[in-house]
Amino acid sequence: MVIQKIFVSIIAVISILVYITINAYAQEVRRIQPIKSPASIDEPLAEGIQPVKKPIPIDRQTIEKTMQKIAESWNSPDMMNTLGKNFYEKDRLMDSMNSKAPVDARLRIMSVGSYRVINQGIKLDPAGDLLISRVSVTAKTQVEYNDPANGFQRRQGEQEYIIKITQKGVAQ
Amino acid sequence: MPTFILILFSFLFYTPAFAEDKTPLKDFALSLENTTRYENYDFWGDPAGSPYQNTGGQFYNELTASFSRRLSDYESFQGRFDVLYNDSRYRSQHNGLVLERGNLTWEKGNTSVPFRTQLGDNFSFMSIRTIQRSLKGFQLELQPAFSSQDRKQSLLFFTGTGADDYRDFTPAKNLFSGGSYLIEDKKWGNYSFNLLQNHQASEIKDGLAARNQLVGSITGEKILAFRKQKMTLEGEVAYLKGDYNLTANTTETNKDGIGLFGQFTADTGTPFNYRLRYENYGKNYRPNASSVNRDYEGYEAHGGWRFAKGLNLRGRLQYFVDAASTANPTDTYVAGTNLTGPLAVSFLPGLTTGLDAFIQDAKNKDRTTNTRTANLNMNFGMPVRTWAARLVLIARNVENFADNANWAGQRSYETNLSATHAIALGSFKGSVTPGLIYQNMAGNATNRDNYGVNLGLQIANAMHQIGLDAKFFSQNAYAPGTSNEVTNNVGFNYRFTKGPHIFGIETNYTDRDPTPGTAIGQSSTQAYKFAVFYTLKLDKEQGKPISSMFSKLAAQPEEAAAAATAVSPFSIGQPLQKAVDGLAAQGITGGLMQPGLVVYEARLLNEIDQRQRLALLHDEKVVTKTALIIDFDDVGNQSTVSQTFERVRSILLKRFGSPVDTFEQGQFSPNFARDVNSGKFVRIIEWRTENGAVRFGIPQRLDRQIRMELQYASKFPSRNETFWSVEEVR
Repeated sequence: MVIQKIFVSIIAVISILVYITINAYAQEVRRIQPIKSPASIDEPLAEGIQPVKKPIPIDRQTIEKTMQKIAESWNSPDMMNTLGKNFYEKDRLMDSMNSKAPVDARLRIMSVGSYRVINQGIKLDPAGDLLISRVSVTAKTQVEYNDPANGFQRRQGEQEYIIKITQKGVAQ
Repeated sequence: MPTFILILFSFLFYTPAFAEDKTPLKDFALSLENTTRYENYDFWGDPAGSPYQNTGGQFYNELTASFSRRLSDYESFQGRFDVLYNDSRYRSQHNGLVLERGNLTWEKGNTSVPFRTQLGDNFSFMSIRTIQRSLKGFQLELQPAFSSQDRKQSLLFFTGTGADDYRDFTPAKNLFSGGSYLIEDKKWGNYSFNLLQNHQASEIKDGLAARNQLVGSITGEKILAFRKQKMTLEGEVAYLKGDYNLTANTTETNKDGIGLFGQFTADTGTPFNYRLRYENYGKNYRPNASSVNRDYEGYEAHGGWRFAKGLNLRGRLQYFVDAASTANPTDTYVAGTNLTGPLAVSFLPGLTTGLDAFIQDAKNKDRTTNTRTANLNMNFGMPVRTWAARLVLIARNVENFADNANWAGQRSYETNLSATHAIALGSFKGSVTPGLIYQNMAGNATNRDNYGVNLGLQIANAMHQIGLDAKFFSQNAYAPGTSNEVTNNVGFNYRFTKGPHIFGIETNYTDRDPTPGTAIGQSSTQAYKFAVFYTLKLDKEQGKPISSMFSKLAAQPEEAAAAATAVSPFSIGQPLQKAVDGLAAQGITGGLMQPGLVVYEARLLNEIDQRQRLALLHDEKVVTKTALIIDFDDVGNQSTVSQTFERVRSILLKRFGSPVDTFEQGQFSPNFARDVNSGKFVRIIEWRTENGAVRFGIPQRLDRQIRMELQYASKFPSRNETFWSVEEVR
């Protein structure tokens, strides 16, 4: 039951390939995402983040690779860095993972379902502008571990992940 | 979704631009991505040991179609549909055709009330304590402008249901409808007023009646400045009235609950920053679209200190009360610390660390729960010769003081050692990472030793990508009634990418072998998954005819960019042979061929006496990057190092003009070499050219050599990435 609870609680904002932190993407309450108008031209979405001129598709390969990284970091020290800055009860989740999850428990991605870009922005960078996309992804996953008394254990689930993907070389 | 179709067709056929230009969809940007995937799963032996329970062939095809049209600088329309044809037990609960997601978005800023409206899938967010989830329905946001630029407002309305797809779409099952007014004022702060209604239909299966709940909340955020301090005060008061699910088949009806949240964050203008947080959610505060816990109270204090050389120290004190209103609440106290960043240890140059430690005391009133947990998690990384090594040490100890407990303590230790090395095989480049793991557990009938070996390999060239992951893991349990287990796992991935085509193979094999196995009813299991897929991606830019989507399919393989008539050593994109011939014509000969690159001893900067080497990096056909490597005479001599660097820099400034970016961190000092190798000393100067960028600086290297590099490439890694050297040239 403990692992089920931990498993379910991963559904929240997760940051992947993060070079920077964007407060507007991980917040307690709603903020205005400005609609471009003659009165508010070039208004940034957040500090240092410019709106995209047109939506830039994120391909499935990128989404699948990102989900795989999430699975690989689950129940490892890297998981802390994977969770977004303002992930709700991040410390409490990590404390529970550290103290209660079986040490050999791993997360397997069974399938990556549909996904949708919620919003996008561009972070200007001399080394190549960064495209920052907040994406909703549905995935079927399975937690697996071995119980010496009861054998192989599986806990399946289907969740929505809100992930932040930062890409170089695709911003236009 | 007839409304989808109506809106879509109205934009396709009734726009003024369409009336002027009869080319269908010319004014739309279109994107299609189709993946056909076949998977086969099987296992032998004990079914309980297989990660895959559904065997045999599994097939699905997923098509994503998206389009967008910019009608003006302030108006755009876009849509996206994800359609699945499924015959796989792993991909979806439905077989056949499934519309998984669909969204139409219209945004218009050049009107008296700028608006953004979405039909279909949308993300509805008011606050963490009210709603934060994807819905299928409708959303409208209005942003009427104030006369002052310092004040903005937004009205948000939405209605929709939380469903995985549009098959058997029944919104009344779990319908959310809400409205939010938000005002942001630079002087007075940000405030919002939110209202949310949720209706859940009755459920015959669990015998649940229809449930309704109404949640209202007020939020506020104000930034205060006092001398150098910047303080942010946030708060929310929320109220719930109605019904909520207590368990899967029981409900509470017609209840009232209050939720409170307050947070004070301070950036003191010094290396010290801190945050205080309070949360209180009443016994009956259980919004259906929020992740907060009911009957919960939390107090938190966080403090952080940023050291000058990049080290960050963070501490936390937390106190939580679960089941707060009951006769038997559970109190949890946590004290924790976290240290990350580079550590200045003279005999371990380049060492970076992550340390996380906490002590947690959790006890309820009747002491049926009473535990103390101590956890230490240390993570070290440093370059060791040509390897990037990583060591993870984890220790956990749980003491159980509960009355009538049948166990007193439990502990575990874990060591994880791995190292990554760059490899090159012909045109393939990548990395290999071998690793070892050891775990030891004791107490509470968990006594066992686990050990394992793993190997990761990633290599790729322009078209092929190969990934291999192999693990051997042995669990050796000592408690009566338990079994040992050996697990072997091998995963292999292959991708072939050419233009709009992607072909891939994925395999995974697991062998699980419990010992003594049959003594406790388990026997070995071998299971595999094999998947093959093909993806086709087609795009059309706005303003081009539809036929342009298919031009990539008919086009011949792209020729390398034509070389300049006078071959420059720094030209990229030209055929390799042409570059080599061009250099020979200029007297630069004797290149040493290495996998993926050619290295010349060549003094291209005549004004500099130090050793210079020119490297042409290629993909067997085309030069992809060039690098001029300039050595220092004596990296221990601070003055000659800084003089040489400044001389080269001034020459480059004359040649390339003003740089577009300069990044400098750290000073030339007697510890110059150590600072470069620990990432504390950074020099990066960049120029842009027509088809690429030029970067000059002193990169960090795995083999810890110190030298200057002038590189020409189409793009570079972020300047935060200090390992940008051409590692292959030693």
